[in-house]
Amino acid sequence: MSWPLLHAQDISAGYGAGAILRDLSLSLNPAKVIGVIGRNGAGKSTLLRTLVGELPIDAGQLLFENTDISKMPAFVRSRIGIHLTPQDNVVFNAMTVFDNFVVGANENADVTAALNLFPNIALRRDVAAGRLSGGERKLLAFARSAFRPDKKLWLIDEPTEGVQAENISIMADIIRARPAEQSVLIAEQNITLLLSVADEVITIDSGIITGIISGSGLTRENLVRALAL
Amino acid sequence: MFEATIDVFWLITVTMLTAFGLAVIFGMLKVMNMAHGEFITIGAYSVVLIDQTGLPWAVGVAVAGIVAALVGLCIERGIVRHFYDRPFDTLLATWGISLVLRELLEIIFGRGYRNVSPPIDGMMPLSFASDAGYPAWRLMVMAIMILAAIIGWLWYRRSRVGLLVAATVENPVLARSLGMSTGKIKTGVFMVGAASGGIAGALLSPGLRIDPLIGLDYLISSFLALVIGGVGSILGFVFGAGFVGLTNGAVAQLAGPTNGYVALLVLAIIVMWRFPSGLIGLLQSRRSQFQLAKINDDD
Amino acid sequence: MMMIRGNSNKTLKMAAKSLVCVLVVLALVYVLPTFQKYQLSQLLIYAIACLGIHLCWGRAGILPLGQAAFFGAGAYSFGLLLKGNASDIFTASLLFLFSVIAIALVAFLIAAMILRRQVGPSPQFAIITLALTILFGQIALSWSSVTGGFNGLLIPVISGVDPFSDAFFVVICGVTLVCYTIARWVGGTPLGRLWMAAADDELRVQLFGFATHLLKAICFAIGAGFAAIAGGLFALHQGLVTPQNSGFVFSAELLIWTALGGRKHPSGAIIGAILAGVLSLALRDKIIWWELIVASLFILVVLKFPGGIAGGFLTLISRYKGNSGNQEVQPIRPPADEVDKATLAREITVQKVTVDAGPVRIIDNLSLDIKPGVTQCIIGPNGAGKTSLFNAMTGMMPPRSGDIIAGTKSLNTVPAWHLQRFGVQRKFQTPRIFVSLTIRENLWIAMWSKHLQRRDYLSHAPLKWHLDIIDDAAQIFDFLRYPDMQAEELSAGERQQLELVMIHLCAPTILLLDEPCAGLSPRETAMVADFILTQQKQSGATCVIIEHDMALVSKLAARVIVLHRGKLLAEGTWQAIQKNAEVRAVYAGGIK
Repeated sequence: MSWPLLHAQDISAGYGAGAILRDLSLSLNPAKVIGVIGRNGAGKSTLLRTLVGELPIDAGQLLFENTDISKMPAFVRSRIGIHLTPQDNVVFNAMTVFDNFVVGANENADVTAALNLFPNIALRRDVAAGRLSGGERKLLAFARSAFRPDKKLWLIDEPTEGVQAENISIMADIIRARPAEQSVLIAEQNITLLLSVADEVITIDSGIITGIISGSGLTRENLVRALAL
Repeated sequence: MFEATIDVFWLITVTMLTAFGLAVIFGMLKVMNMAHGEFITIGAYSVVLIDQTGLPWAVGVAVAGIVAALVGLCIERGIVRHFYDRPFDTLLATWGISLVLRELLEIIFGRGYRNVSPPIDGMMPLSFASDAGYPAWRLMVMAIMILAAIIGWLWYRRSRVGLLVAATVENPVLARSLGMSTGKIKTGVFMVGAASGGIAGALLSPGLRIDPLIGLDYLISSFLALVIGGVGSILGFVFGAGFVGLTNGAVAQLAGPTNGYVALLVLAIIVMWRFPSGLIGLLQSRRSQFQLAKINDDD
Repeated sequence: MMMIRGNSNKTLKMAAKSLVCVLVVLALVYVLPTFQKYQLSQLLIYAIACLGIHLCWGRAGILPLGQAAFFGAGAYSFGLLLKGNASDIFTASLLFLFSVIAIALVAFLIAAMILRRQVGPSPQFAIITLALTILFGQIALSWSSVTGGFNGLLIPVISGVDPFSDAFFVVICGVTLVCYTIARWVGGTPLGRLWMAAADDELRVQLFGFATHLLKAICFAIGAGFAAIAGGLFALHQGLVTPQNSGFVFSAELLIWTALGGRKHPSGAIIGAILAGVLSLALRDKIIWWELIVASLFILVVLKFPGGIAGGFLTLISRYKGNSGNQEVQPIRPPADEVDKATLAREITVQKVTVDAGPVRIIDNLSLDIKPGVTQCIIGPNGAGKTSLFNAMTGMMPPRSGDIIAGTKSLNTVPAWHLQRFGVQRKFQTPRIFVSLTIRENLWIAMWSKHLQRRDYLSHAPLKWHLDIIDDAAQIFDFLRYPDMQAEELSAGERQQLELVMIHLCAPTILLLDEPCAGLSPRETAMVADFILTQQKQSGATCVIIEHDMALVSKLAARVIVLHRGKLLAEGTWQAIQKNAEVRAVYAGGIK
């Protein structure tokens, strides 16, 4: 392909809410894993929610596979291949774990494979998802997203929050094992995960992109410095 | 005595049938649909029309459901869907719609009463000893309702559509991220609520003096049932409808129909004041604390 | 000089307006035939009831679905009182007044009791008023021994009162004008402004120390009083009261007329009642579709044009006139506040507090001290419980166990409006200001929190209050120089700044600031940080700030508290925290 998978041009969004995106521009190529880091309130979640269509774009343009999707509703974006694993409220509390997977898959799809991605989750298959711990819910949401077919761009918002180390490495394996052409944009503060999967890391602060770290510069020291601790 | 008991069951049946549509729309979409009664009226009038053509009553019931669903579609698409986050305004707008519908019905059908004859004549004997009997068609309606409730419950629990609806109602953002068209699903739910009202009106039509204003009383009794029982759970609905039917029946038989009505109103006011999640909500008080916590942003 | 001229201008305007009203009434008396005057009287009576709806709905954000109950109560009670007693004008007037006041009191009690448990727009209360009107209508219908049942209650004739006379018409006009003036005037008082603020953000008003349920109950009571006045006059006018005058169909009609005329302005109530009435009488028989048209217009108004006809006119007029320009008023200093200094708190002790939200434990057996007179920052990753801690401190999320003590008082279950007494003020992560009010009015509300006495609620003096800190803040924050701008037009960043300034106007001893720089540009962030620092140095208040921006934390914090998963992870100076290995691990993503 000669054009990027996703191209955001001078996007402003989130007016009136906490974090605001200001004239943010971004280009994503297929088959890449891009990390997004920044402190809370910097705009990571706002960026992801804008890309997926839950927040309207106040100014600027969003192109996906060279089509203008700036005004496309969220559920249509999901069907054309942009899928978001949200940061919170990640499961349907009232349904069982199993039904959570069923509702996220095509009709008649066999969700057992998804269920088995994380051992903890497979064990809780008939439990109401609202009764899982915070970390377990994140695992459920991650597995359901991983299993979602026809994703071209997978947006993941802070998947490791509340999740234990061994499951984080499973997450890294899953991301690496994805279909080759699929791109991933992952907002994270967990440097270990980013180092193990990301091709590039973007830093974001106060609603604008402040830097890109890639190649040999992708080291723990640089990322820690970028988080400004 | 036996007849009195069945009478109470009948009243409970009537309340459940007529309140169900509102329970669906209010419980799932959080819309106070003041035009709910008019769906019932439309249903009754549909049977009137079909009756005139000589077709069987069952056709009338089907037509009632379809017409009511279509009216519901227009209302949801045209008005309600733009104002889901403004509860006062949907309350008032649907009141305006109910006025419009009542006026239209009056223009079309006039103010006089209409009647429809029951699909089955005669009385079902209740005991071998006496001649006491109960109108057969009422027993049929009660049977239909119980059957429909069981089938509906099983279907909702097991089907994919049921899952999609539950997902949309609980967490529309997450539902959309999974490709669900939450707008269409909400429209569908509204139409189901409308159709239920229409079918209820059709089922009850043989026993009614049908005029454009019958919807108002059903609106009130439906609201009372939902308020007292609690919105958002089947148990609450059943309890509320049962309670209203029982009070209307039992208190009415003991102390006169007006006092039953007054007692219900007073009780509803007290419940709304003190137990906003309905009497069933008392048992589920933990859930309300959880909603209390969703006040603020992060953390 | 300005002040004196302003006053005399005002008095002249009022005199002119009164003269016009008198002339109009006289003109109507001479021009209209008797029957038209009789009909117009009835419409004006409805207009009085609609004025009550305007106050509740248009000002205080209460949707009164059952005004007919108070209308009917006014009519029936007046009729019943007249029955037992002498029937001269003087006694009748006394009885009339008595019944109106009694009804308003009952309305106040009902509203105060129910609204005590509600914060924010309350569809519940609306439905309760609807249920009340249905109940009243039913009682009026069934209790025939007292009310005359379906046929209604005949009103005894009072000697000297003839509903078809010119005198009666003039009296009705007069009462309408008086009620209109009261409605207009009260809207301009501090009480009226507080109603509007509560309609925007009730919790915010409560945090400024106002028991909003009582304020709203007063509004509801006045509305009920107007409805009762209308009912009593109606009884005299018609000579008969029936249950139709107190059921919910009539309530809905009153609501529709008010909506169509325009709920936001008192003139809307009058326009709505008269226009709807006149057009109905003229067109109802000519066009079958008339009721249909009215209902459709109502839907349109509710959904698209909440200002109604009056709102439309006023927008046109204001556009034509342009901005009215700054009102030059001589500012005065508010009276010294009489808050008992002993109740002010300077420190907060959190003792073994646990907060649950459903099955999730958000704060886990947390103990920490907020030290007095010092700026401290609370940091921690998402889900650490920071905002929840503030919620627990301000009574929004009562702890399951443990104590939160400010000074000597427990904050666990304190109602929001008591916090102001302890000197606690909170700033929210997403700015909470009153968008329907101007910047000036927003600042008033904050000033009133500390200085408003009972006698001031209906006075115009508090509208002139001004504090020096506002001038200081205006040096830093540009938008404060345009105090007549609608707060709605402020950008997100400016709203943050406005809220910050507002809570400082309360001279708090404990400030809880939740991400005060969220969404601000680097320049705005610096301005806000400086403001916080300067104010804290001057006042010596205790400042607790939730922040994520570590640069800010290092600049502002004398002390840093780190929360993680609802527990205290570490505390100390910024330098110490930076070196703390556990904290680094949590942030840098090793162990999570």
